[in-house]
Amino acid sequence: MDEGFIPYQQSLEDEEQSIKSTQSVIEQAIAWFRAHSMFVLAYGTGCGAIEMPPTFTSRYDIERLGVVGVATPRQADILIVSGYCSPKTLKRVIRSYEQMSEPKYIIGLGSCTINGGMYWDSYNTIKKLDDFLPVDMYVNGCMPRPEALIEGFVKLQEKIRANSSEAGYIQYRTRYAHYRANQERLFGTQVQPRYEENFAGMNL
Amino acid sequence: MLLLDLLLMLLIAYGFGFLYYGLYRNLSARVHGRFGPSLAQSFSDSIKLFVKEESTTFGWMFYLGPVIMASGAVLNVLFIPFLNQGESLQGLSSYGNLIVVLYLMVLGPLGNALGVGSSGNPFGVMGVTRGLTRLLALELPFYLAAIGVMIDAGSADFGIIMQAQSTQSNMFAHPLLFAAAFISFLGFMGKSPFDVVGAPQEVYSGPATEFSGKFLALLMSQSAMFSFAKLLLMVNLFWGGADHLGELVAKTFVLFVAATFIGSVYARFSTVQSVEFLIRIPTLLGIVGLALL
Amino acid sequence: MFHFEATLLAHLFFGLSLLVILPLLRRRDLVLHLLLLLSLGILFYASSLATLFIGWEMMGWSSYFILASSARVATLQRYILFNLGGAFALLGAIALLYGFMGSLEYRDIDASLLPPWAMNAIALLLFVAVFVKSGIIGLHDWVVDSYSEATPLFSAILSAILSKAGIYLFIVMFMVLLKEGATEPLLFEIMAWLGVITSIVATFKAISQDEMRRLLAYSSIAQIGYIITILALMQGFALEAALYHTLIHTLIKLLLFMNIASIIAITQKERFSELGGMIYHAPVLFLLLVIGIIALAGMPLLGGFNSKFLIYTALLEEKRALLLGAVMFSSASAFLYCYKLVYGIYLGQRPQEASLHVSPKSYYLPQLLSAALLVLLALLPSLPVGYLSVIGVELGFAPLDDSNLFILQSAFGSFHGGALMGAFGVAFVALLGLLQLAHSKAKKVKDPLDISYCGEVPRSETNLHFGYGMGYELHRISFIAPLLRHHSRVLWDRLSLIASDFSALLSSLYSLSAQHVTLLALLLFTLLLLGGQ
Ligand code: SF4
Repeated sequence: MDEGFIPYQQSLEDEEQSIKSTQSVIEQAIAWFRAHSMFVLAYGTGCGAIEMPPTFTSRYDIERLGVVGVATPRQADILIVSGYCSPKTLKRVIRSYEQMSEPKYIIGLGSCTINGGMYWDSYNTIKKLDDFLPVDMYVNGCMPRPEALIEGFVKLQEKIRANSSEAGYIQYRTRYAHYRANQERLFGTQVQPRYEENFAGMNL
Repeated sequence: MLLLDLLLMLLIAYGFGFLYYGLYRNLSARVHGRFGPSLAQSFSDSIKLFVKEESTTFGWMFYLGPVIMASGAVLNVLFIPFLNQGESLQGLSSYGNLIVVLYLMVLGPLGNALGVGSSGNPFGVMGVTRGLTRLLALELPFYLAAIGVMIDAGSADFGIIMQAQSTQSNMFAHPLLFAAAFISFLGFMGKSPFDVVGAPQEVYSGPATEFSGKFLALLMSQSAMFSFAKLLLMVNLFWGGADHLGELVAKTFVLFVAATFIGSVYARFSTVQSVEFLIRIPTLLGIVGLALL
Repeated sequence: MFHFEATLLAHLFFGLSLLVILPLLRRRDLVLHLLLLLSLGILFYASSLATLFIGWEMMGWSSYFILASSARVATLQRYILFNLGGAFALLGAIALLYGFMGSLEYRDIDASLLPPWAMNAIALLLFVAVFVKSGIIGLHDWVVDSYSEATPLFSAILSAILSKAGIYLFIVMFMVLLKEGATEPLLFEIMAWLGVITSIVATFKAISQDEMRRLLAYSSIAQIGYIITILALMQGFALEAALYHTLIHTLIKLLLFMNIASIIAITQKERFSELGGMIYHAPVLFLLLVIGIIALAGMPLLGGFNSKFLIYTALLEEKRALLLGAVMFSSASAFLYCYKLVYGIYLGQRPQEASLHVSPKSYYLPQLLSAALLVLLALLPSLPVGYLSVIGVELGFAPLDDSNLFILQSAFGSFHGGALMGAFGVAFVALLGLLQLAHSKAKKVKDPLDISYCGEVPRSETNLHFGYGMGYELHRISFIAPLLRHHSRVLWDRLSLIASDFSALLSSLYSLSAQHVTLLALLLFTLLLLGGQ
C-alpha cells in the first residue's frame, strides 16, 4: 500500500467527495454554522508558528472565513499544531486537545507533523503526530505559507460540512486504546490522566 | 399586551446587539486595514456554540452562573425604556428607576463571578478580581454623572429624566458630566483601553476561561443584549431618549460607532493604570460638573 | 418641652436585640448574656439620662466579661479603654445637661434653653460617645480586634446588635431630646463626611483582610458609616432610611457571622488562605452566604437594596451630590470584599484535604430566619415602612407613604419589589430551560482538578487557591495605598508611649532621694515667691 503524505491527503479528500449529503436540513444547517465559525487554538509548538500571525492579521486576514483565535482549549474548535513536537510539548498538546469540546479538529501545520520533516532523525521529537492524536488536515511545507494554511482551512471547512463519521474526534473516541498505547509508549510512566476518566461524568 | 411588548424589546435588543457586535468587528477590521468577517459572524458564532456536541461543566453553581448573568442582562433591557413617549416599548420601566438599573447592571456579573469561582480555575478568578478592582473606579464617574442628571431632573424616574431634556439634552446642558459618563461607558462596554479583564496574553481568557459550548453561547448572547442596554442607558440619560424606533437606532448607532473608533486605537491599560486614570480624569470632570450644577 | 418616651423606637431596637441574642443563648456565659440583654433593655427603655447611662455602662461591662473568655489581654484592654473613653464623654454630656436643666428626666429636658456653646459642647461629647461605639475611623481598632477574637457566636452579637447602640444614642439624643437645641450645623456636616470617609476607608481595609471575621468587622464599620452619614442630615426620611438600614444590617450581619461560625465549626480555620472549595461540602451554607453577600452589596432582589435606595434618595432629596457620590463609591467598592468573602470560603479549589467536622444544627436557625426575612423584604419592600413612619411621626417628622407593600416610595421615584423578583424569576427559569434544551450536552468533569491550566495537569498539592489574595492590587494604586498603610494604631501607640513617659516622670517624683526633694521644694518656693512679686 502507498504510504507518505500525498496519498494520505488524497485519501482524505476522496472520502469527502464520497460522502454526499445524506443529512437532514437541520444537520446541514448545524454543519454550516460549524464550518463558518471556527475558533482556533493556535499551539505554536515549532518554528512554523511564525507563519500564523500574518495569517490572522491584516495581510491575510483569515477572520474573513470566520476564523478567530481563542486562548483556552475549552472554547476552541480547531487545534493547530504548528510543527515539531518534543514529548514534553506533546503532553501539553494532548491535554489541550482533550479539554476541547466536541466536535473538534486538528490541523497539522508543516512537514514535521507529517513525518518528522527536517527533524526526522532527531532523538527528541516525534515523527508522526497522527500516531498520538487524530489529525484532520495536514498542511505541508517547511514552513507553509499563510496561503497554504488558508487553503487548509477551506478544505477543513468542506470536511466539517460533510460531517463525516471519520472525523478525528470520533476516531479518537472510538480508537482511544490505539492512541493511548502510543502515548504510553512515548511517555512511559509520566502519562497524562486518561481521557475517558476525565469525561466519564454524567449529564447535568 | 405587556408581554408582547417585553418580547419585542428583548428581540430588538438581541438583534441589534448582535448587529452592533458584528459591526464592531467589521469596523475595527477596517481600522486595522482588513476586511473583517461578515456582519452576522458573531451571531453564527453563538449559534455554533449552542450546537456544539458537548459543554464542560464543573457543578451546579457553574451551570447557573451564566444563567444569572443572562437574567441580569434581560432585566436591564426590560427596566430601561426604549422610547421617551407613548405606551409601547416602555417595558417594566415604570416599576423601577435609574438607581435600580445602576445596581442591576452589576447583579449579573456578580452572579457569573460565582460560577467562575466555582470552576476552581485561578485564571478565572484573576479575571474577576481585575474586573471588580477596575469596577471600583469605573462606576464612580458614571455614578457622579447619574447623580447630576437625577438632581437636575428632580427624579430618578427615566420618564421624567427624559422629559427634562425636551428643550436641551443633558449632553449640552452638562457637558462635563457627559464626558465623565462617556469615559466610564467605554469601560462598561469592555472596549480598549479598559479591556484588561479578559486579556488573553495574561490571564488566559479571564472570567471566560472555563466556559465552553452553550455556556459561552449564553454569555455571548447576553453580552450583545447587555451592550445594547448600556447604549440605551446613555441615550436616555444624555441624549433625551428617542421619539421612535428610527431615532433610537440612529442615536445608539452614533454612540456605538464613537465607542468603537475610540476603542480600536487605544492600547490596553493595566488594572492599576485604569483605576488611576478613571479616578483622576473622569472623576474630576464629574466633580466639577456637579459643582457647576 | 417634651413629654415623649420613644417607645416604638425602643421596641424596634429591643426587638432586634431579642431576635439576635435569644437564638444565640448557650450554657456558656448564660448569665452574662442575659445581663447584656437586660442592659440593652435598660438602655433602650430608659426615661432618664441616669438610667440611660447605667444601661450604657452595663452593656460595656457585661460584653467585656463575655469577651474576656476568649480574647487576648491587649484586645481586652483596648476594648475597655475605648469604651470607657466613650462612656466618660457621655457622662460629661449628661453632667453638662444636668447643670443646665437641674434634672435627668427626659421630660424635663428642654434644649432650647441651652446657650449655643453648651449645646455645641454637649453635641461634641455625644459625638465622641457615638463615634467610639460605631468605630469611626481612627477609633475603630477595638472593633476589629474584639470582633475577630470573640467567640464566633459573640462576634455575631457584637456586630449585629451592640454596634447599633451608638445609633440609638444618637437618635435619642439629637432627634428627641436635643432636637430644639441650637447645634452648629457645621458639626453635623463634619459628622456626615466622617461617616462616609469611614465607610470608604473601612471598605478598602476590609478588602485587604485575610481573616474572615476581620473582613466582616471592617464591613460593619463601613455600613455603620453610612448610617452615621444619613443620620447627620437630621431629616425624617433620612431617619427612616437609617432605621431601615439598621434593620437590614442587623439581619445581614447575623446571617454572615453565623455562617462563618458554622464554617469555623466545620473546618476549625479562620483564614481565606486556608479555606476554599467548601461549596460542594456545604451547599446550604453557601446559598445562605450568597443571600447574605448579595444583600450586603445592596443588590436588588434582596432586602439590602431597599435601605440603600432610601439612603440614596434621601441624599438626593437634600441635593448632597458629592456626599452621595462618595457613598455610592464606597458601596460599589464593597462588591470586592463581598466576592472575596464567598470566594475565599466556598469557591476555588480546596487546599489539601483536611478533616471536616459538622456544624451544630442550631447555627442554621438564625441564618435561615434572616435569609427568609431578607427575601421577604425584597418582595415587600414597604413592609417595615409603616412602622418606621410611625416612629418618624412620634419624633415629629412627616409620615411616609406605604399604601402598597410591593412598592417602596421615595421623593425621587419608587420601585416595585414584586415586579423585580417576578421578572428575574421568569427570566431565570426561561434561560435555564433554554440551556437545558440546547443541543449541546453538559458534561461534568470528574476530577475538579481538570481545569484548563495552560496544558498543565495540576496536582492536588499545587496551590490553585491563590485567588484569596484578591485585593492585593489595591496596594499598588496610589490613591488607596496610603489608606491601607497608615494604621491608626500607630497614633494610639504613640499616644500611649507619651502617656507612659509622662507617668514615669510622675512616678519618679515619688522615688527621689531626700536631697532632691528638698532641692525641688526650694526651687518651687523661689518660683512662687518670684511669681508673687
Ligand atoms: S515543518 Fe519546518 S517550519 Fe515547520 S516546525 Fe518543522 S522544521 Fe519548523
